[in-house]
Amino acid sequence: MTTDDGDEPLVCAEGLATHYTTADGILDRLLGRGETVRAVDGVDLELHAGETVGLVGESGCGKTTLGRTLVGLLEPAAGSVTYRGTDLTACSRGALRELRSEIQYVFQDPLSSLNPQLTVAESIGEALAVHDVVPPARRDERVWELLETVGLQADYATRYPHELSGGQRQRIGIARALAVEPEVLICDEPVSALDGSVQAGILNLLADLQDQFGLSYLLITHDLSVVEHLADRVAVMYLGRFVETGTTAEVFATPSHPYTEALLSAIPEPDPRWDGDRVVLEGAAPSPTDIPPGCPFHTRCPRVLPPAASDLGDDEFRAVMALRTRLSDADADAGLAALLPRGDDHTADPAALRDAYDIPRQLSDPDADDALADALEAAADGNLEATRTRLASAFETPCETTEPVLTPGSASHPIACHRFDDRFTGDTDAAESGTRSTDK
Amino acid sequence: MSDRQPTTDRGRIRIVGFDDAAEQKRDSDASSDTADAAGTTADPSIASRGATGIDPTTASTSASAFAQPGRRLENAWRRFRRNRSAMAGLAVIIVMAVLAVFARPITVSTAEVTITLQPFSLAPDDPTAMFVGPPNAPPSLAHPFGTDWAGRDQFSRVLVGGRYTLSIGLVAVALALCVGVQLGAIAGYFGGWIDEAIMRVVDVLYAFPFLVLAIAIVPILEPVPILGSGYWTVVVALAVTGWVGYARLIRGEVLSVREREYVTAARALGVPDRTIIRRHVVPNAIAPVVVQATLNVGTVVLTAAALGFLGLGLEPGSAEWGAMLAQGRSSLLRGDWHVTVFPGLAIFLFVLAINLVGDGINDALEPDRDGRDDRRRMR
Repeated sequence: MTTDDGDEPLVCAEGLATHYTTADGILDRLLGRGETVRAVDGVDLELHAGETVGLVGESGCGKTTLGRTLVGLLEPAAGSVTYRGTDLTACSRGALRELRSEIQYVFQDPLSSLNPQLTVAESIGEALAVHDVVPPARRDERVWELLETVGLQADYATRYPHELSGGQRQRIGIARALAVEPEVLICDEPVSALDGSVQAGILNLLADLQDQFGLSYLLITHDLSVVEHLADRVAVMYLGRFVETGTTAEVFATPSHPYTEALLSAIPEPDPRWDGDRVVLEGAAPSPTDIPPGCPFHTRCPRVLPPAASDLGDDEFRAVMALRTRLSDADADAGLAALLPRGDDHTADPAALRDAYDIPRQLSDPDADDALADALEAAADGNLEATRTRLASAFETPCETTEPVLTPGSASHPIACHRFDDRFTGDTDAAESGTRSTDK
Repeated sequence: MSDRQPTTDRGRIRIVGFDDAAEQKRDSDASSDTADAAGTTADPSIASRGATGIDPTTASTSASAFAQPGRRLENAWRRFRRNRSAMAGLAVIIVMAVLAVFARPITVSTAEVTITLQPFSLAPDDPTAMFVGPPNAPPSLAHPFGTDWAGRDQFSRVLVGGRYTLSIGLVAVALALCVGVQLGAIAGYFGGWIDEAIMRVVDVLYAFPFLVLAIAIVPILEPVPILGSGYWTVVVALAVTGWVGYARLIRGEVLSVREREYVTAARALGVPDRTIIRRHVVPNAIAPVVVQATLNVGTVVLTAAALGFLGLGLEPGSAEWGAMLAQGRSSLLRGDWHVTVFPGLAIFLFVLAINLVGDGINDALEPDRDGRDDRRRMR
């Protein structure tokens, strides 16, 4: 994600990818067993001085891995991280240790990120000692200053972490990160472990510190209301890739990526009369060991694109896609039972299958309907493999064949979705794509 | 959020006056976050927005789930003191240690001067002096534990023998701890081939029974000039055989501790690995090792006694409890029970006391963990 203001970014990631391997132990490694978990898979990110970039996405989408790779806690598999033009991935260990003081990390769980055996002063003082920020004689004084900066009294210095409340602990975590006078703070879910009333305090503290020291934040969170409150720009992440980036207003306004829409619709609303559409994504996120081809979101996307040749409606096609996803997950030997909801009397009836997946009895496109009927007959006979191939050939969506790129397309800001790509949508679709699918 | 106008309106209801409520809550609950008032000044609607929609995982519940680590030593000592059998064991050890120290005067001799460090002498006779009484005399007022085949006073020998036995136990365990904790922590923290190398050495040593390995090592060590024959040979042999257990135990703990976030936080700060291990990893992983080491003092003492009994290690005439037992074998056949009973009782008492203390430390450090499981895992 880039901005147009032209000044040099503080932190810049290009094509960054971080992979884990599930191989465990020497034997696995020698035999080449184990799968590669592509936690972060090609991400471009720029962080400018004094700005806050929000990074949102559901659990397991690689937000934390990206954050830790930026700090240098994890080794990237590809791509580079540069800080003020210095490539951190090419740095020697010693040089990297010096640069560590410029990019700091605030952890999600303030209790587990503080050593239970050390007092507050020792925890913060360690940061001062490592980089020799202040001479040893002045360290106590500096610890008190830092405590006051984060809104705690100096006498907390002698306490142990378990003697503090959650909010106080998180303030200590922030003070420790600030001790080395960083320019960039990567906040990994800084408030999600905290009580509601304390969250606001911590968020406002982060905002105040930004004003005071000109810090840049990368705010990792799954809570969009936090991002809306603090961030200047937002990057939405799904399965290790950015699906949408832009200023906060742009991302929160429609039209946006279907995934962002689903996230936005999940923001709770205290109004009892509010009757917004809650976009519920079907199924769990696919495993990062096996990222779906094409658009990684197409298996769950509520607004997956119908094939260009057909006249199918979005909802009809979505229903067929749900059946296809279920088919691809199902065990080949499981038979028809895998397709029907549990507890159903397994009537081998194409109509029952249509009902189970909310597919209309008659699709709007006759050709497609023939193909579907054909496939469902095969399913009724228990031949799941034939069903799978027939459906795959008849209902092939561009979303599963072509990988979308993160470009503005027809939207005002970069969105990685074919809905916003003129090649796939023709003319009309992008304009009306702001309306959310209602039949959920 | 007001600048966003989706199909259905959000934000019709806003919560105001949040600051006041927060203020009151804080006044009523002194332990709550006192500093939030400074933060939540700007916009009450913002504050309420931040407060909604986040699952209320209260930090206080997670805090109570953890043991209280900061004052851990104080709490542990309080729990230890309440444990009567452990305190009895500690008393026995202290009495034995005092008796051993004050049994005979301790002097440091250089070429000319002799400095007496400890002038007291509880033992009535010199343990090496022969024929202070008739040989193999049964217990009497003059010689409460009787005398051995050479007419040496058994009471004096048992008292002074405590010096060997107790110090062999403590020094050997301390040496083994130094080696084992360091190697185990390094193996666990760095992992990879370092871990493989260290742990394979541990596995090889583990393949031998403890005592057999010690028996095999003593003759290897004896020609080494600085060690010579005797005390230090036994100590080093016991340390060499003992460290593997600690290394394996602390490696397992370190494997879990190194994944904790405070270790990651220290790495993010650029703290050198050496400091991370010393300051963050080992102190949080050491508790089960301390328990194991205490319990092992007894094992080590028994092994030292067994070595002495087999005639390995200390020279034959020395007043070590195991060696005394060995020499008493022949007199036992003649019916002179007192020659073996008293050193044997002393060993029994010390090992029992050490085990009581070890169990007490285990209960005190980790009240929710059963020490017996640990020991089963070790052997």
